[in-house]
Amino acid sequence: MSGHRRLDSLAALTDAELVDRARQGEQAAFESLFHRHQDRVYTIALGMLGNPEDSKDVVQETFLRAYRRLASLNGEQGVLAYLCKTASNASIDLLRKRKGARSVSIDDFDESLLAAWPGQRPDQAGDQLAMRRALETALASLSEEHRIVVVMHHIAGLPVDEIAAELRLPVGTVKSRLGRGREALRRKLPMFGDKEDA
Amino acid sequence: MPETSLPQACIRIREAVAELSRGDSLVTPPEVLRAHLEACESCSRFWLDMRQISLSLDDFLITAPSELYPNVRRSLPRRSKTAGVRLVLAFALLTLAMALMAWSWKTFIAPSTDMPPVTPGGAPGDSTDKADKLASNTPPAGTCTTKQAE
Ligand SMILES: [Zn+2]
Repeated sequence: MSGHRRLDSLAALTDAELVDRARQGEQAAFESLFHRHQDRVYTIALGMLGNPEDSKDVVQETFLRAYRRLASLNGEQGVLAYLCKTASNASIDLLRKRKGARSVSIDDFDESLLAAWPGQRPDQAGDQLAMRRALETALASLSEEHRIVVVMHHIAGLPVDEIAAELRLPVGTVKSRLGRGREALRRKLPMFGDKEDA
Repeated sequence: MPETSLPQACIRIREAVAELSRGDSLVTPPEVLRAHLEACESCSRFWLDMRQISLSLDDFLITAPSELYPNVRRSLPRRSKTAGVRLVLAFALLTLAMALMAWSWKTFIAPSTDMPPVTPGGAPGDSTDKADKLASNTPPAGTCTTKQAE
């Protein structure tokens, strides 16, 4: 079976099945896991670091760590969660290495006018591609402290308390940054109205 | 309207929305929240925008460069499912080699059981030759040591 056809047949398997095969030494199964999740891992790294070269390193490091931990990976729902957390941690490590451990504390009051209303898809979906591009630009223009928590929470899917632990910040500060980050995104995204609020 | 000049009611409502989205316990009664969002255009627009931003962020993905996997593959520690098979094969080969050496020893080097004992004062070289052969543990090429021993 050619490499591509082999990967195609593996693409139908669940994460758990791929992990199981990779554990038994089937490298194509691991490669399939890689292709399945590389975009998410790359997005987390790029979102947090803002640098494509460093982000590639984070992708590599994340998957290498996953490979070494194959024996203990929980395939069913654990693979993506593990990859996201590892990518976040690797990005934080890189940021700390870049500028030395920096503990930033903001004493700004928490306006926290956040909203991630549960359920319901947006009804005014609009042009998804335009939204994606605008979001990419807006995200890149956020301050680093806001961008990091927004990416960790929304793209890596980490809960606020876990982010606080990883960043060694009080939970309230993370909540505040998350709110302010989303608030800043709203101001920067052209498709959102009520600019006089800003 | 700048955030700082928002009515207190709006600020409280937006805080309530934040509490809800984080799963914190709600201080503001839900019916008050709902009523305000239905009545206040600014807050409802704010809420809808924020919800849209959150959902878009949750789905947001940047396509990774295509050339990443080869680097990862090169760095992977070797883990092969044939490793066990190879180990068994190596062990079998080793055993075979040892058996062959033992057979060669018995066939070509070791003294046969009916060999007469070496007597003191025997022909010079007899015992030392054998000791050398025993020590070296290698059959002399092209010779039959069994015949020599006889
Ligand atoms: Zn209001």
